[in-house]
Amino acid sequence: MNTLKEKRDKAMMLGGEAAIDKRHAKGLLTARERIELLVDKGSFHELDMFVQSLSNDSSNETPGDGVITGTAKICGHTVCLFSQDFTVLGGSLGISHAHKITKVQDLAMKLRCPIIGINDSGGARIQDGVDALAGYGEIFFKNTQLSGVVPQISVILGPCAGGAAYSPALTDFVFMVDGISKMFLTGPAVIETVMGETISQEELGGAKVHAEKAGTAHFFAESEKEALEQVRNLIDMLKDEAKPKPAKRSHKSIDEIIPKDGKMPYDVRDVVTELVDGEILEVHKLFAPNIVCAFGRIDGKLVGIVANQPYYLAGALDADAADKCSRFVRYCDSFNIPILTLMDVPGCLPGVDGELRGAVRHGAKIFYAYAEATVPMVTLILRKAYGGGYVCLGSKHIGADFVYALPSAEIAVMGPESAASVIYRKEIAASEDAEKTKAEKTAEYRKEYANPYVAAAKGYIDDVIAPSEARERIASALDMLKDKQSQPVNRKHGVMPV
Amino acid sequence: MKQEYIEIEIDGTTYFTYGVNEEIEVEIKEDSCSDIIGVCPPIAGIIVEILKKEGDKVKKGEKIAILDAMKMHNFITSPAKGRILNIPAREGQRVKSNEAIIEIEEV
Repeated sequence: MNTLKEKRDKAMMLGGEAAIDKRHAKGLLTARERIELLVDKGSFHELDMFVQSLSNDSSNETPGDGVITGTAKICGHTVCLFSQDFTVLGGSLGISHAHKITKVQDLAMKLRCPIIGINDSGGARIQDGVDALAGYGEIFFKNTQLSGVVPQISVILGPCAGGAAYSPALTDFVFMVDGISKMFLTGPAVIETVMGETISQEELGGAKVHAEKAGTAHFFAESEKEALEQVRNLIDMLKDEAKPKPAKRSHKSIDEIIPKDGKMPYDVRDVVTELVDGEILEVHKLFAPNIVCAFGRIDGKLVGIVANQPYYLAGALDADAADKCSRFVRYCDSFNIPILTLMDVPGCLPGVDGELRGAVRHGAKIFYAYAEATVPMVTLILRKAYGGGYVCLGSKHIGADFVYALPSAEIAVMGPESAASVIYRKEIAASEDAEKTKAEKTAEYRKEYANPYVAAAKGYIDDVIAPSEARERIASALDMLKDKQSQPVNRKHGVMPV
Repeated sequence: MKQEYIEIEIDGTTYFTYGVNEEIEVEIKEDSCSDIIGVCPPIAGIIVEILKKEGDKVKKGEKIAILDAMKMHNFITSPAKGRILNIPAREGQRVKSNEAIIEIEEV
């Protein structure tokens, strides 16, 4: 018995007292402290505590081989997890370390439960040579096998460089912490040697960069504690059903939130809040803010919400918005989460740079994601629904089950001004006062076509509803669709325009 | 003749310096270039209204101009607390997304 206790005590001390003190002095938590903060108290069941490195060079010096693995509960839900331990050889990945991770990945597959990885590793363990690469490969392979089967979550709480960065990138949700997380393929030193460019780790692969620009991170936190709390919230949100919570309404009706003047912006999240129970959980909050992707509940049931954000870039679609939205739609479809789309899209963002960087290829992802999705899909057109933006974002034509429009909706090929300029080009050019004729023709076109009734007359939308009816109609549509039967096309898999 | 130029990015705005045909050294002083911010619209459009005049004090996030783009009036906000130093753009002007429309001196 004494031997067991001694061995356990040693394992609990990770890389030793000095190494732990060093971390604490830097204000960083240890791998075990992170697990404690993440999971329900006393729920952690550790696996493979006594695994050691197989490499002769470092035997007996690698408690747990630099990674803590096991199962636990978060808000009562079973999860599998691993937490890399920087105090043991810098959390470097050797073959034993890798096999501990793949073992919990296999377990997550069997248990059909979410898997959470806390990443804090210097990268491949040089002593393990090509075995370390094999280990990474096996992890990536299992990441891919698990995709769409169980939610995969990565929390970056330290360096995550080179090949190591690909595992989080293959998972569904990446959390990063300001000043602590560092993720890149080639670090500043290599970039300086090869390219002659100087850049700091933070500027190259810090949390802000990944959350705002690169889009690798879906959640941004100021501290480790906050990030782990965010993970708990997400796990709690992702469960299928919860008791309906009282809505946190702003006491403003949707009618009041959306300005009468079609040119005036508003925060679409205020509309979302009016439609859901309690709070929403935004994914990629800081990335491509021109589109909002969030989880929320309607009558206690989980729903994925996609909404154009007129507050940023007028809600126009660009490459980043396409990536964000299509990825979110595919996540929802994989896990049978119904999709509610709130449309107010002026179209795709015009520009030479955007076109040259593949605006068409990126935009196609939205069509593909919606068209392939078989989950219940309900769309509410709030205001603008122009051109390809209208078609791709959950229109009837691309597979939505119910499409409603508010009376303020404008469903047309292009904006009244541009349309009038094209259709009445000759008349405008021939008139004495071109500006006046153009204004008249624009007003005419707006009255005639920039409304929901042209589309409603053709059955392209199912109904025009009053803003005050929106919540109830959406809730009842989702309820009706809960047993929706839709078989995907019989094929191995499609080729998504990535 | 081949046009030689150097490209300098300051606070998100790209400036081009043409006619450079010999090696030059650029010394960047931290305190001399961090003060003035050129505010660029996020998208190309037409300036509808400039809400501030030269010399006005502004808070971070305060609305300073309205841009008509993508069928919408977009508010351009101040990226920092400061004072309006110069307004190169005029109401009714068509502007590009990398064009500084208002210069703010950070305080």
